[in-house]
Amino acid sequence: MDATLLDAEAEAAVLRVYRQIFAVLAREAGAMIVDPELLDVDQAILDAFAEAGSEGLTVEQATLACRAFPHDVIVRRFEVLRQYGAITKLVDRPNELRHRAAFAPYVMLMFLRRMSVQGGQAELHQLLTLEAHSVSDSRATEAEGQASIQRLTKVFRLLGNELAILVSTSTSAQLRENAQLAWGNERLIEQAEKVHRIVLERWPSLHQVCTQLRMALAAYADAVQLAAGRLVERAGTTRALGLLPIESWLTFTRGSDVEALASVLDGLLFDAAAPDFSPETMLEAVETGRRTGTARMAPPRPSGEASVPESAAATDREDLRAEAERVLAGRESVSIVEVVDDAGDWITARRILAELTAAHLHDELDYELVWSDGMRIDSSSGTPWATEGTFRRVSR
Amino acid sequence: MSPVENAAYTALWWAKVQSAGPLQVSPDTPPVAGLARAAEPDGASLWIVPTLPDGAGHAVLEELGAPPVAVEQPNETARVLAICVTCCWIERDGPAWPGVTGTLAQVKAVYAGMRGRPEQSSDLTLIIGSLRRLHATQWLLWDEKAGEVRLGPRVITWGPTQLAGLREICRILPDPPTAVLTPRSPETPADPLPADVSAAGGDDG
Repeated sequence: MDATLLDAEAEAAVLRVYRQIFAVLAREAGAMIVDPELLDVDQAILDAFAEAGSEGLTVEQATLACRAFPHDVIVRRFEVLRQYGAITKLVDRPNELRHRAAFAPYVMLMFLRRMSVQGGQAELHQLLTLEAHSVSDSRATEAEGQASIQRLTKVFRLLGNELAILVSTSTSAQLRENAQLAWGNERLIEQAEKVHRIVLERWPSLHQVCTQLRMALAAYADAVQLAAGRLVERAGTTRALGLLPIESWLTFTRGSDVEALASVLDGLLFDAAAPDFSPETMLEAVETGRRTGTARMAPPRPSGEASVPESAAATDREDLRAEAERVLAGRESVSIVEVVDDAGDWITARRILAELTAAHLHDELDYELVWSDGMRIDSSSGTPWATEGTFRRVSR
Repeated sequence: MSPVENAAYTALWWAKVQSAGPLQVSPDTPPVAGLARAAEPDGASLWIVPTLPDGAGHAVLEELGAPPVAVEQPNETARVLAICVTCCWIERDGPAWPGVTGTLAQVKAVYAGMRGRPEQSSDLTLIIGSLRRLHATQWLLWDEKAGEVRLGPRVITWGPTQLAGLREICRILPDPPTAVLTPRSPETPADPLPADVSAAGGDDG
């Protein structure tokens, strides 16, 4: 019975400290987003308690000590802090007016402020050193080693995830602002690997959790690589990673007075505003100029395609005309029998007759071939049988 | 000159240059910090041009995503500037300043050659417009009455990298015909004497 009561009391104490810490955490989270002033109010209240000594403070004394802030804001924050247990009554009785502040919230506040400025890397270094220290302790047990490795695995997973999300979702300006806090520490990885080595050598059975840690470390290293790649790619030729984003410059120029602007430009020489023609732009303009020039010329390909079949047909036509003229030999008409006899054998006569027929059928040539009823039969000639007819010019 | 007077003197010139661009001054003007000096070929005057550190030119504007100073018909203007470089930068292994005098006829011929077609009357409108724009921003010195053009003082700041790019442009563009300068100004050296070139180089910086 006693034992359970003691346990309960110990748990209650732990719970109390947790609540104190998370009160500040919750405030800090809220304050950083909505109103950083609230954080200053918290600090001022806690400062006032530090000044007050062992007597503690009443609400009125606290508001008096924090005159710099509006009265109702102080009272409200005081209530919130009391609710979360960061401020408690000096003696827990109904009408107690004096309060005391716990130190844990203040420590946490300092810690969080530092975290928000430096990204918690220093703390992570310290944590890693502590972990290395505790796992190399001769009294450390396997369970402690496992817990230690698992803690580190989570830390690096969170770190790697945050960075990877930043790389994939945020603008490069955001990435530049946040990434410097989260990335780039070879030493972090080295320290984690040291812890990993110690644990693995002492308790080889923990190889499974150690593998998890190695994977988390590798993922973190990959995320760092990705972030660096994206930043370098965006940084341009100057490679100035520290270059302020353009929004910052615009805000500065809009928000500064003449003196501040003039002092920035003091000692800087500018050219008068003038258009710039770099050789690259000139070369590009010349290249495009040449391209439009050639495009405007008469396209050679279609004209070639049109003339080739034209010339083939023309050659064909002229061949037929030459043959017809050779047969006519200047006359207006010629007898077919004569043509056949002149040709000698039937093979040649047949070819000539074919060409005369083609000339007759050709719609651009003015010749016609007219057959009549008679037939000449002469066994002594090269072609004994010949149908009579005439080949003659026509005028259209 | 006391340091204060000196600072005021520098500030005055800087203010002038920052508002007006390159300035033509008499040769006995004392040098000003940050301004490059380049003599005219005849030595009667010299130009002072602001020198910017490497990597502080217009490329930074581009990198920051800020819009550059706008110019009408930027491509046509850039082409005409390239053509003038071909016509006026004869000694391609040396600096572009001061170059030689080119003529409008040359520019027209190279323009038509670049387009790959005979000269057209509409070319002249484009060319003259571009020449005027370039003259106004001191990229060129364009004498409209004589129809003669020279490279402007801004080319003084062209470094070896830029000159390499310009050589490529000159290789692509057709060669200009021989310049026929108007006899009105026979003293204008079409081919500057070596003495003039060394004098111009000596006055630099």
